[in-house]
Formats: sequence, C-alpha cells, structure tokens
Amino acid sequence: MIEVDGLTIEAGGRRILDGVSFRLEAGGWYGIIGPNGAGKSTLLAAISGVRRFDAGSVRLFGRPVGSWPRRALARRLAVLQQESLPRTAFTVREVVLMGRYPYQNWFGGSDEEGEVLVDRVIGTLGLSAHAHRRLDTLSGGERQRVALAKAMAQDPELLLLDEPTTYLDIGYQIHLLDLVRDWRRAGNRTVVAVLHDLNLAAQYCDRLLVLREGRLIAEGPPADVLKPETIRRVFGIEPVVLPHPASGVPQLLLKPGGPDAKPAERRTADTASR
Amino acid sequence: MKLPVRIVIWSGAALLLLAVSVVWSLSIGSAGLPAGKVWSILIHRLPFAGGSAPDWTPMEETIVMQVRLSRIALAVLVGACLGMAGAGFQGVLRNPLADPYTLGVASGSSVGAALVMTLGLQTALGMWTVPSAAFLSGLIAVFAVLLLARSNGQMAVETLILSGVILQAFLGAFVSLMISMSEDEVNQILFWVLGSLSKKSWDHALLVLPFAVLGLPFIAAFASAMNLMSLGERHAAHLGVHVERTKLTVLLASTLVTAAAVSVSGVVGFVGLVVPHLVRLIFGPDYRLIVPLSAIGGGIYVVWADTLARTALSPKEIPLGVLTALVGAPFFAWLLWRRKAGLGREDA
Repeated sequence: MIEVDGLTIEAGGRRILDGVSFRLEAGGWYGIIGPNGAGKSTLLAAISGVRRFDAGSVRLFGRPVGSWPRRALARRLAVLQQESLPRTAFTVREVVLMGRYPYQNWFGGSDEEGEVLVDRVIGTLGLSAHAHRRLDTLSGGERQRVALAKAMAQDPELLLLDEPTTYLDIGYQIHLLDLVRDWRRAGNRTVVAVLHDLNLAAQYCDRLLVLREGRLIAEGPPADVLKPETIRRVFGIEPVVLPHPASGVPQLLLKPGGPDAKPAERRTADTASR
Repeated sequence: MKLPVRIVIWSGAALLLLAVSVVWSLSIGSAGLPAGKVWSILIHRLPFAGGSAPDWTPMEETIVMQVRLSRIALAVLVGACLGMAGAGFQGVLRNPLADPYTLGVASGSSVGAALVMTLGLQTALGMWTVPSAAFLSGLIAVFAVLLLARSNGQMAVETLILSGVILQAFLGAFVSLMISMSEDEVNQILFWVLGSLSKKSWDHALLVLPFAVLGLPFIAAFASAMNLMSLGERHAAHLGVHVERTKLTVLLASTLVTAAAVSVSGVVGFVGLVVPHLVRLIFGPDYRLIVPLSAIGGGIYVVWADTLARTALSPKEIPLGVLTALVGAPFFAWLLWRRKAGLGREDA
C-alpha cells in the first residue's frame, strides 16, 4: 500500500529525512515514533503528497504519489492533523459534509450516498446532538472529533494521523484512538499515525517505525521495538519498561534524570532534534 | 433547506431589491421628473408593452434612458465587480482585511491614470486613453506583487498581503506627488482617485459588462474550494483542492474584474471590503452564497451610494468613493456591534 524508497528531504541545508525506506501492507495500524525533529511529520506530509522531496520515491496504492490527481487521492487517503479545525461559522454537519468534496459536483447535493454516510459518521462519533452547532461554539476536543468525522466521511482506505491527540486530555485521547481503532477494523482500513505517547503507541499499533535524525532505525511490533536500549538510544532517557498488566504490551515508566542519569546521551538526542 | 434552493431564493430576493433600487434611483434627480413619468417611459421601452401615447417630451426620455439609466447600469456593474472580487480575495486570502485592492490593483491604476493626466495625454488615444492606462498599470502592479510574493512555486498568504501593502505605499506616494505637483484648480487626479460615475455613457457600462458577466460564474466555480480553504490550506489540500492553483486563478480573475471596474469608475473604496462581510454576517460562511450575493449586494450598494453622490449636494457631485466609505463604515460598525451583542447573549 505504501512503498517508501530512499526518501530524502532537505530544508535550510539540513537533512530532515535521510534515505528512509520501508513498505507498509494494507490493513494494519502503523505507528511512527521518535524525538522532536526526527522528521515524523515531514515523512507523513511526504506520504500524503503535500511535501516535495529531494530524492527517493513514495508510491501509494501502486503509483508514485506525485502522479495521483489530488481529488482521486483524496478519495483513498485522508489526513487528521495535529491542529484541530479553526473556529469557523460552519456547522458541524457542514464541515463533515466537506469530507465528501472529492466525490461532489459544485452544488454538493447529488451525493445521496454521502449524505447517508455523513449522518452515520456523525452518529458513530457521538456528534448527533451537535450536528447543527457552529464550530466556533465547540471546545478543542470536540472540534478534533469533527475533524476525525470529516476524515471518515472521505471514506478512505488509508488514514494518516499526525499527532492527533497532542492538545487533548487523556479521556479524549483514548476516546479518539478507540474510535479510529473500531472504524479501522470495521472497514479493514490502514492507519499510519505519528504518536508522541509511546504507551498509547504500544497499545494501539501493530507495528512501530522509529525515526531518529531523519533515519529509520528500528521497525517491528511494539514488543520488539520498545526495549530500554532502543529508547535510551533514541530519546536519551533511562526508562523502566514493564508489560501492561491487562494486555502484556510494553509500557514505559519514566524516572527523573539525576546523578545516575547519563546527561551525555541526552545531549546526543538533543543535537539530533535540531 | 437545500443549498441550491437557498441560493435561488436569496439571489431572487436580492435581485428584486436591486430592481427596486434601480427604479427608485431613476426617479430621483435634478431635472425634477415625477416618478410616475419615469415609470411610464421605462414601461414604454419594454418590448410588447406598447400601448399608451407618450405624455413626455423627447428631452425627458433622453434624460431617463441615456443620462440616468446608463449611469445606474454602470453603478450596478461596478458594484457587482467589486463585490464579487472582494468575496474572491477574502476567500483565498482568508484575511478579514482583504479587499479587491489588497494586491495593489487600485494603486497601480491610479498611477497609470495620474501619469496620463499629468502629461496632459487624456485624449491621446480617444476617450479610452485613461481607462486603458489605468487597466494596464493596475494589472502590472498586481503581477509585480505576485512575483514579489512567489517563492518555490508557492505564495504564502502573509507574504502576498505584505507585498501588496508595500507596493500600495510606494505607488500611493507617486500619486500624491503627481497631485501635489499639478497646477489645476480642481484636481482631476484627485477626483479620479476618489472615484466617480459622472459623465459616463452606455459605452462605459458595456465595457464593464463582459467582465461582470464572465467573472461571476468563474469566481463562483471556486466557491466550494474556498469553503474548504477557510478550514486552512492543509485541510483543503487533503480534501483534493489544488491550493496554489486555486489561489492564483481566483486572485487573477478577481483582479481582472476589479481592474475593469476601476478603469472606468476610479477608486471606489470600501464596497469590496464591506459587502462580502455584510453578506457573511447575514447569510453565513458558505461561499456558494457569498459570491453571488456579494455581486448583487455590491450592485445595490453602489446604486444607492451614487444616487446620494449625485443628489445630496446637487448640483455639486460628492465623489463616490467618499460616500461609499462615509455611509458604509458606520453601517458596518453597527452590524458588527449588533453581532457582538448577539453573541454575548448566546454565551450567557
């Protein structure tokens, strides 16, 4: 479904991505993790076709990403961004209906199938009571749920999430990721998510890709990737890794840096992030 | 209510208001023609109306059909051009202060017109000398701004607006220089810069007509894309909009339409800024409504403003651009204040 080969992106004389190659099969939930500035969001932008790259190739659904007409691509690929939607005067339903743009003519009225789908998505995400409220009357968490509804209304095979839970409290974080998980399973879709929270990444993703200094340095199931050595190498911290009491996936406990921490390694990771 | 139905109903209502405004404006003027007589002349001119024997003089018919109606038609067209262009500019620049003059078309046109007048070449190429010079220099100014703002095939909105502001300041200084150097008692350049529809004929209206008629459907075709862009350029791109292409196309189309209006009417300010805002305040954020209603609303606005301009201090003319701002600004302030008060109540 996604074939990335030797992807290199430079900006301001610095390599943000440096020869990244991987292949993702359809039907999984993939997580991209790594420190700030490792190139995670840039990688996602390149996959979604909004960022040009300097070398290498990205193929989506068997074709180079640049050769996809934007509308045709929007029918198969949706993106949920980190920032939720702006406070506009459009209503929730109007914004979710915008997810049908790649399927619509000018009036947006002939897409009967879309109207049904939009109402179903609004119901699934628990937004029915808000359907006719304006976006500028909603909270940030609610607006992010509307953004997810809009992405789902695109009915894509592939959903890219760019740190979608950054500005949400833990309740909203879990709720949002649960919604994505159930939707993904029901439609056998593929999700690629940049996630900051390693514990959430371990619980929702089938496989993790670890980026550091623009390079892919580890890839595999959470149990193989989230080892103390890897985390020390990537983030420069000494974590305690324990199996989750309920599911058994690895979970991190953090401890403050102190005399026994290794400041030299933190510096390495810091340099990497600039 | 479905959107197409809403568009038809509101546009119909707005067109009706426009028609009423036109007839009302036709009935007012210095010649002191009674309204009843004006309507008879109009009805008489309608095809298939025929009938009653004329009880007016040919002179009166000329005043209504040639002098007043041509001027009102031009007012409608100039207003429509500025209204739709304002909607286009605000749609792609996503900035509440954007208006048809943001990218410097008015300043550019003013320089062209002022230069022709300063050199005394007003009639060098016949009656169309000043309009052609204004049209061309307006377009050149916008191309300069686009070039200035372009980097890596992309135009960031902030850079575009900033480039426009810079060029406007620069060209504005040129115009002021030419005004201060001129020795006329009643300054032609100043009068042009303030905008006016006096001493215009059907020819001027016919010149603007194709721009308004072709511009409206063209800009409206991008209304859905502008709706998506109001969520942010990234959101729009991920939904299948060619963001850069849309921005450039809408800006160029809106600029052409504006340049056509400005080249015959001078710089009529405030219409392109305030009318799309008024429409948005009343009818909501959907550009499929905002674009057509801004065009019609612009027409209504300029007809009213120009009627005041030619009658309020008759026989003296008030510059149209002065009136559009003088009447428009307080009205807009009142609407903003009412909306703020309304929102306050909702929150409480």
